[in-house]
Amino acid sequence: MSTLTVTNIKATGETASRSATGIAAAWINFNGTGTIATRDSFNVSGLIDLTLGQYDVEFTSDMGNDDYNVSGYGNTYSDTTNFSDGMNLALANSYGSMNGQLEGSCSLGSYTHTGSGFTDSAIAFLSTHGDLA
Amino acid sequence: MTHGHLWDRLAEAKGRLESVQSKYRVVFEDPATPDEPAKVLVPDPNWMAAALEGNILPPIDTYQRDRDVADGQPKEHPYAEPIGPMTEEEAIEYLIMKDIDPAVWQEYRGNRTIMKIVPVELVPSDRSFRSAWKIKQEADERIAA
Repeated sequence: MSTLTVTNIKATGETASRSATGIAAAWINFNGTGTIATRDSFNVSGLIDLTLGQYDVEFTSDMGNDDYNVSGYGNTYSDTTNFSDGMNLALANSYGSMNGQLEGSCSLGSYTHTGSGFTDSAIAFLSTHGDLA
Repeated sequence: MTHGHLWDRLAEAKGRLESVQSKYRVVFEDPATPDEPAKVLVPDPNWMAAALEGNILPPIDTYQRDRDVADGQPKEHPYAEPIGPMTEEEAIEYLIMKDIDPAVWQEYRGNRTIMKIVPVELVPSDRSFRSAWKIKQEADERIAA
């Protein structure tokens, strides 16, 4: 194992450099309905199915604080050619069974835009960027 | 220190190891919120591969001590010397202690069964009544809606 220790990186042809901490600290792609399972991931130890449409993602190597960036997406369809009707992910919220955005985990809620409540995502993604502990 | 940061070991392992889908799930209820449905812990396949391989994950007690570390303060587990390989059963026990609140697996003294390790096929795939799932208290290990 070799590690290149740098503060910033700059791609060939680019004029601006960017922080090496911009590399995703953790990410996951999972099936959030039926038999829930992780398709692929990095720096995740487990996924907790809290209830309908609510999940906690547990990190193996914690984030350095709880101010990191989270992004994600969910879809009630399991393929990428059909899209659900405006469903969105209420990321990082402490609500219901969800703990919210913590150093060691992050919650992910899949909510319908119609206000009819939480619903499972057949395909869901989440990634985090920020300093590691 | 030759073992480096945990994140670096995970990155190296990600490129080297085949993921392992666990045949187990951990079903549990939070005694502090008895009206909420049962939760299901799904072990991560890349994490499981790292646990079975060994020399990647830190000792579980480092995570337990880090629970008391204030937000933004240095933590022990990313820099701890990694432990050797685990069996899948040992890895599940480790994961319970890491990802489930001790109020469930250590401190609960009630009569109700609030945590079970079950084969994945015993967790219902029909989620029509997901918000009503509870752990059955009979010998049958199936989750009941």
